[in-house]
Amino acid sequence: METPESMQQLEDLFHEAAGLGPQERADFMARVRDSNPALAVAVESLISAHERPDSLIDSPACEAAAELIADTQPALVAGQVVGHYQIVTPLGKGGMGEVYLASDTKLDRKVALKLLPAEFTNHKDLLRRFIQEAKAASSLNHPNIITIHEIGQTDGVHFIATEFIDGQTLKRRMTRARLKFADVLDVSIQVASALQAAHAAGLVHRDIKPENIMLRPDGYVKVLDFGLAKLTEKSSQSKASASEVDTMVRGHTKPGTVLGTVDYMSPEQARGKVLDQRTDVFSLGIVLYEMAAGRMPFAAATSVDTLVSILEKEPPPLDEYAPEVPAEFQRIISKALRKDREERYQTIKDLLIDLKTLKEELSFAQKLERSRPPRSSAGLSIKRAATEAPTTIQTRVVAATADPSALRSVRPNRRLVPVALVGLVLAGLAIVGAVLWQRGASRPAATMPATAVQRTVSYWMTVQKYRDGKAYQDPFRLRDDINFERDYRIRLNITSSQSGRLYLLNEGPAGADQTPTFNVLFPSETANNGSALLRENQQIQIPQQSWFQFDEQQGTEKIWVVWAEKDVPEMDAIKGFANAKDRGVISSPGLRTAVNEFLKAHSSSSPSVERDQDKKETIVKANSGILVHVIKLEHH
Amino acid sequence: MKESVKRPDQSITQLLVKWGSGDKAALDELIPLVYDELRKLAASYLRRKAGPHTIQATALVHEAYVRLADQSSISMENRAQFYGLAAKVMRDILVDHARKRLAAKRGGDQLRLSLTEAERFGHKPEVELVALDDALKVLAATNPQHSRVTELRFFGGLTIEETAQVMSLSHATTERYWSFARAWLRRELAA
Repeated sequence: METPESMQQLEDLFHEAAGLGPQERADFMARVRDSNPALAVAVESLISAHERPDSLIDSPACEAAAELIADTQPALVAGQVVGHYQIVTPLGKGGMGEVYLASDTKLDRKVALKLLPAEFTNHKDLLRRFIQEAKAASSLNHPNIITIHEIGQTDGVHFIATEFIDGQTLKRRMTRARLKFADVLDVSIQVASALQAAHAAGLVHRDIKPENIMLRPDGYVKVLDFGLAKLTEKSSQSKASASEVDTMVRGHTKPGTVLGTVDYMSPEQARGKVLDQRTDVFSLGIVLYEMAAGRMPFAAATSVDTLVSILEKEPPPLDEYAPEVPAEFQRIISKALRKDREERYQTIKDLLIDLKTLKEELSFAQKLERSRPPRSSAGLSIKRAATEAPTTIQTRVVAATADPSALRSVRPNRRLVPVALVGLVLAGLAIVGAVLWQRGASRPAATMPATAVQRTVSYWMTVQKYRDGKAYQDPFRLRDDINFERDYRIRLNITSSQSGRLYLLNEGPAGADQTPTFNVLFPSETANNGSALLRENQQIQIPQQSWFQFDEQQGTEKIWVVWAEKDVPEMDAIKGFANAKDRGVISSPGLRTAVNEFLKAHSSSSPSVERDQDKKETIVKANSGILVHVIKLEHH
Repeated sequence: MKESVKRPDQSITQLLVKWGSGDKAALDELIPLVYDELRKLAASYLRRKAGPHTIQATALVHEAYVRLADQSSISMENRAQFYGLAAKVMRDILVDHARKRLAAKRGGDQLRLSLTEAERFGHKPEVELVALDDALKVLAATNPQHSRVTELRFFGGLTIEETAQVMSLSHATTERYWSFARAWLRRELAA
């Protein structure tokens, strides 16, 4: 058992050893071992733990917090029986209670079983009305509306058994990656068709949102939960379940306030008015906007702010986020999102007609485009998913410069990521507005005078797939483009054949002074002991133990690589910010400007860039003693 | 319209001031407020999990602080107090949940699992969190300062500077404590 004294001794030795270089440390430890072998073992184990930041303690607790707190235990477990249904596994928890995959023991088929929470079923009146609606919904026979098998009750538990859809919700799909515009249109049309059928039968959905839209792998879209919203609306005064509390208006639950997310509400719904089918038009408009733009039109920091937005604000123009989307689609969305329902599409059918017309026009334009002679191949490159990519592999043609009116419809391929820009040389290309992808291999190395000493820096990206916060499969080297799913993580590996100084900076958005912000990635407190000195052939891995993750679903991440033979004062100064306190952010405006000038000045003397496809690495070469290169990670 | 979004900032600030001047009862009122806020933040954090760049993880307590306390009328001292408190509450919340979940999963006891068994953080945070909490208690027996620094840094998400402020320590000492505590805990967690 340790005492404060023995711990003190351990701590002193630990700090002393940690502060030494490898050789001195070995000598020092040898001396400790001579006088106290047990203590030496303890110090060594601490030193090795010190240099191996890979445990819980190295990530902020809030990550664990979220997972723990938001998680709730399902009420039923596999094998349990509800009526003639046997629970197979929980599928998830919706606003309206838990959903399970179950097997129908009578008909021997899979069903989705939704249990209604007691607080919703205690009201006899409500329940009757709900059953009425569910029955009406079950009478709808439409390929885009989920089939309701049974509405029943057993042992006081009310349940709905529906067709089991082996797919994912639109919500989940959207968090993975942006949808291609062709898919946006396709999903829109299917949802609108479902709503049209429901409206024709006098049924208003009231709760159209991405969680209620299921996408099947075969392309079918199914709309869920018809009529359920009504139950929620009227029973809002009863106690909300834990998962609903945080989507409620924070601390302002007034009678009549609707539980559940407010993000997809229509203005009339937000005002608690009597609803008609036009509320679905508005909510669908929000979903369309979100699919196309990759963000919600009215979402704000709090539910109250969101409601204010819905009631009063115009959403940002769609082309701010999705310039590839045709103007007509923007017009359709604007018309669906009119605050005054009298000005909106009066029926979902009108909206549907406009969507279908647009689809036809686009496919016509596309055919036209295909029949044209090919353009200069410089503007086109085939994006192919690497073999490691998951099933949503995309093979498409990316057009860089072309007649926008004809090509807008062809461009939706932006979405899945083409990550890693292979060997993009900053100077010329950065100015080109359209995304111009350049294959590293196709770019021949600039010829170098035979006498010049060539400095080379090689780098490669490692990708770790993550799913639901968990790493899966082995990390692999990025070859060229992959479908970069949102929670994939990356790491940069870099080495140079000469010894020198290495600095890595992550460029952020420009501040008010038009100068970009910079984040020091290397050197850092943990990598290379804070030193910029890189021995020849030493390999650096950034981040050392964890992974980078994109914080935006869309955009370009620029990582500047600066390698220098000799000290560069501007770059040397950045080390002052490479610590946890500053989080690597260069906060001094003067230094920021100096760094920016330096990068600009040196990147114009473009080094040559080669791509070694076999080794999956990029080699940057230069003749001068300073080599500046920007790695761009395009993330769609 | 904005007025309707009134936060309970007044009361929090007053409670912090009261607590700071030795009113222990104020703490009992504070904790549930902080707890509630952190819980909500954690849940919303999960929903926008798309978010955080690994380079800039958001500290929940900062967010809680910004939301709860009236920035203009609160002193640095109160702020430090709040962070200290929030870190403690955060630890309680997390470890409590972790223990409950573990207990629900299996008979209850035997919480210690090795890192390899628990695989990596993210897989079974509850296992590691409980192990960490246990290890912190062991550390606190001999090194209460180190344990407190860890609580502030890890559970509170505070920077070295902020931790130094809350603990009234120098920057260098705080860093020293943290680096030792971290190495010690890593070793314990991996053991």
